Amino acid sequence: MSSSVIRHWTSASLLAAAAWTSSCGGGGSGAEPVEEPAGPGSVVGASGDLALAGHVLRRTTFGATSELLDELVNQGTGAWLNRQLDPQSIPLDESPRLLALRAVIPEPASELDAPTQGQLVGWRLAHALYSPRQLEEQLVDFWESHFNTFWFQVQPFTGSNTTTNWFEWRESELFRAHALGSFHQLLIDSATSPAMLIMLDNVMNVAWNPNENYARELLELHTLGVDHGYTQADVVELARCFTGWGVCQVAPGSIADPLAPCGGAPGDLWAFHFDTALHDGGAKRLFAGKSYQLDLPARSGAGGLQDGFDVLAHLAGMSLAAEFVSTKLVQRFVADDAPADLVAECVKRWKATDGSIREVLVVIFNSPYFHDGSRFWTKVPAPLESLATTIRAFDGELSTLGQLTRMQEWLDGTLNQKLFRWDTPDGYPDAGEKQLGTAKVLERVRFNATLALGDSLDPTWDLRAWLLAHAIALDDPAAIVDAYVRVLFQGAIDAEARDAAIQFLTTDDTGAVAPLDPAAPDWDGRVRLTAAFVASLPEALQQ
Amino acid sequence: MSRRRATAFDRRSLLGWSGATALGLLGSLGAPAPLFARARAAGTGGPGDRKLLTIFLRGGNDALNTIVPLHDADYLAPTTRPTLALAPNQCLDLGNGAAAFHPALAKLKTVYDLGSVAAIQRVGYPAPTLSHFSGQQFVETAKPGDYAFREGWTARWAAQSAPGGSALSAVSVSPQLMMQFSGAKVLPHVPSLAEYSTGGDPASVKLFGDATSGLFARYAAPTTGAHFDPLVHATGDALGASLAELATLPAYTPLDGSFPTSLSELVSHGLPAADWALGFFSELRDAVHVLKHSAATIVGVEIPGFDTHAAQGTLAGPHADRLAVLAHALRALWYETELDLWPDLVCVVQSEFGRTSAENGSAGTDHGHAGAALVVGGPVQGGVHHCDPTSWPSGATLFETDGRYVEHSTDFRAVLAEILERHLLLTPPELDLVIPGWSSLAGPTFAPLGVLA
Repeated sequence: MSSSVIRHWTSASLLAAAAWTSSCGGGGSGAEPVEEPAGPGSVVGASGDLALAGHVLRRTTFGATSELLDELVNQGTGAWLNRQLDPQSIPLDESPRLLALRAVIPEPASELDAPTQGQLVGWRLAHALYSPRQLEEQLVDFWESHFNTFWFQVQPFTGSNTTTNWFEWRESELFRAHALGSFHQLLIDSATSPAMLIMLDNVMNVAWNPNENYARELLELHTLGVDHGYTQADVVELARCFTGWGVCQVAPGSIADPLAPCGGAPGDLWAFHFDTALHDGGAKRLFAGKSYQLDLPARSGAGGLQDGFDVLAHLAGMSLAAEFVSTKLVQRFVADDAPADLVAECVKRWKATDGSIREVLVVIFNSPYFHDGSRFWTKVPAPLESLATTIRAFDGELSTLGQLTRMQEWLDGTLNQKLFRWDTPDGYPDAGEKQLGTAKVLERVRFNATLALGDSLDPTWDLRAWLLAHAIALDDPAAIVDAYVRVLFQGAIDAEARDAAIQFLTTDDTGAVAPLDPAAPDWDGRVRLTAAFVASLPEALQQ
Repeated sequence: MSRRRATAFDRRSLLGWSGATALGLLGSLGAPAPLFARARAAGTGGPGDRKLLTIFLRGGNDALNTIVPLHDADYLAPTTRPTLALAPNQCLDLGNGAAAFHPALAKLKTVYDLGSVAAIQRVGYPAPTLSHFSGQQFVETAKPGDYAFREGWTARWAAQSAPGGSALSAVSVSPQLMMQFSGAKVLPHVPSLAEYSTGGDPASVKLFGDATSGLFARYAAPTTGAHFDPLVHATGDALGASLAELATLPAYTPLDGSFPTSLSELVSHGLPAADWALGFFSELRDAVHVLKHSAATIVGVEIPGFDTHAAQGTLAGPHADRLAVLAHALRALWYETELDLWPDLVCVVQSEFGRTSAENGSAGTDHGHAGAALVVGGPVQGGVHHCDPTSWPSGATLFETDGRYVEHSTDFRAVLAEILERHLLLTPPELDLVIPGWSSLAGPTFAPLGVLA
């Protein structure tokens, strides 16, 4: 199945026959009927609708800009989404700022020039802020959480910070490459990623006494959902399938060969490795008695590697997995309470397209739920989304690694959205209430204040230039506030809040009324602080 | 009762000073003068003076290597835990002829010997999940089995039973707002007291504002009632009120070493030089400060990293490290509060589950069923529960289910209910709202243990 599946970590000869022609995918026991694959779908959107344009941008980017709002209003949300659904069609040089940051952070070619920690996180932040392929970045964020690995749990195994950075970098790049591709491929990317093999202890999973850690989370977190269609007996059986999976250092020419002999000589590189001596070669039966029961034959030696790949293929094709992952996608792109009928539509499309994430997204973006105005503003932005939204809305520029590192420090602190450092395998949560809490609200306001006051990320906002570019009179408080409100809320804010912002702009720090004078020394501070005020309103915590 | 209310000096002279000296804390406790200065009368015992600290051990603490069932031949059998079993002569005997503490709990043993620690084995709930996240949810909501229910029991307590008038009735001092504290009634989430501030510069003062201006006025404005709008507004309101109340707290200077503040200080106290430990002690310090000096009744903290699937270690290693941190923390809690809060302070330590009775092939343990709980504090009647030959039959307990798990004999809700009823003085109807359906739960696993009088 899945001729589109890209083979990473596997050499052509060793796994070609084995890994990708699943014993279950061809209709073995428990295989479920699959519809004829259909051609790629496309999204039907609407033009001339500012509210919808804002909604689409809030759901699928790290924040609206005036230019994007204009584009979606004028050319329609459909055209824009269809382009985002095909990220390779969007040249990265549409964003000079991204290109500049990519030049600051050299892209490593191998483990030997692994990134620093700042580069690892900075690369993610640079792309979230400035990639023209914004939907792809939203999905990178989604998959990084879905298949979360914790840097500090990986590091002790190799004892090397740079190797750990490399593992995380490599894994993240695979998630980006396959962000809108096949779920089966993403599952393989994660399962064979050294970071995951170490994080969930497959590196210590041995035939005579299996370690259940990966097996459980593969079912609970990656495919089926908690206590959803499996039992503890399945976890035990599944752990047997992955015995012998691990990592080791091999000759540079053999990193794609999981059966290559482990070395450790200078110059050897870390790679996914299968140790036949640690594998339980006996027959296995998963999901016994269920319609999706999977039987794996006894396989000795290198053939045992097939167990794990068969399981991944089987799981990726299961309706329960389609339902679980689709539900998470609907929660991400529509609302926390995923409508059951929309999830059912997603599952149908998943089954018809071998789990194409792109196709599931097409279903979501075409759904009435996605276009229903009463379902706008139903989510709470994650901290990264909040920070990026404020920076992007006012055309903030981060151009150095140091600035990206400052941004990382904000996320690592009270906001607690630690990229590559979330300590449990469930990943950073998506649910609205998890983004709130008094400390996280306080910290978001403090971040916006920092932007306004130009403390640590300076110079990132040039609001005079921004207002002039929008043809806003610099001495017109109402026009300035309306420009802020348009880019952040597309006008969807009550009159009292707008009045409060205007009053805020027309008073000085002591609260005394003072006219806004573009020539006065306090002009810049007042328009900046007012931008922070508008970006910190209760409305800004809803998306 | 009289022993529990013994004066500070009785206890210092009997146990505290000598214990501290022997454990190398002489420097930190050398001068008695500050103790006089810090002394105040113990609380009246009314609802406003009674305090509860909750400590969640995230990841599933290995109960068998915490409160060790040395009387059970299965535990000591070489096939059960070939590398992880603790030898009887390594453990700290708890005096009931059966149970013993892990040696890393030596500092807790000091408090146990005061009669202020109830060590409870076989704590759990029916039909346990093996998922961390659902397990933690079940414990924090006090509604096991309901996957969709995400309102914390403390939030429900605060909504209806908290003494009125304070925004700090319950506080989550943790990196993430703990689900236990999450609900329609918004409670303060304070990861760090030092960071919990708007800043005093004029621009920030203007930005945040107050009830009539700035952002706080906007958060106080009426909510649309739609989706997350009510929660967003309530969170802003709780933020403003908690900031104002916390700003009135006096400075707090803990005893040296109670809450290590650097990696080298951790090492000097025999603790692991790890960021997670520093983070926890910083949170614990803030938690104790809030308990001491504010109207807070319930404060929660947590320790990460108990998910020891591989190389968990015995005398040393990840599990021993965490137990050592916990023990240091609980003894510090006693040091820090003995002269004021201790007679009115209860601390409960829980985890989402225990671990498999046998070790796996990675010198670790996998997710299990019943776990252990500790209830610590001045009002506590110390002792061991459900780890003796009667409640834990040797040879018939370790592999009771599926040949893998210890089953619970005490429901975690029974431990919680006893604390809520006897310490926080909840009425039966209140208890039913905090622990859903409590009055309809019947059977021996729900019987009170008598950890509180």
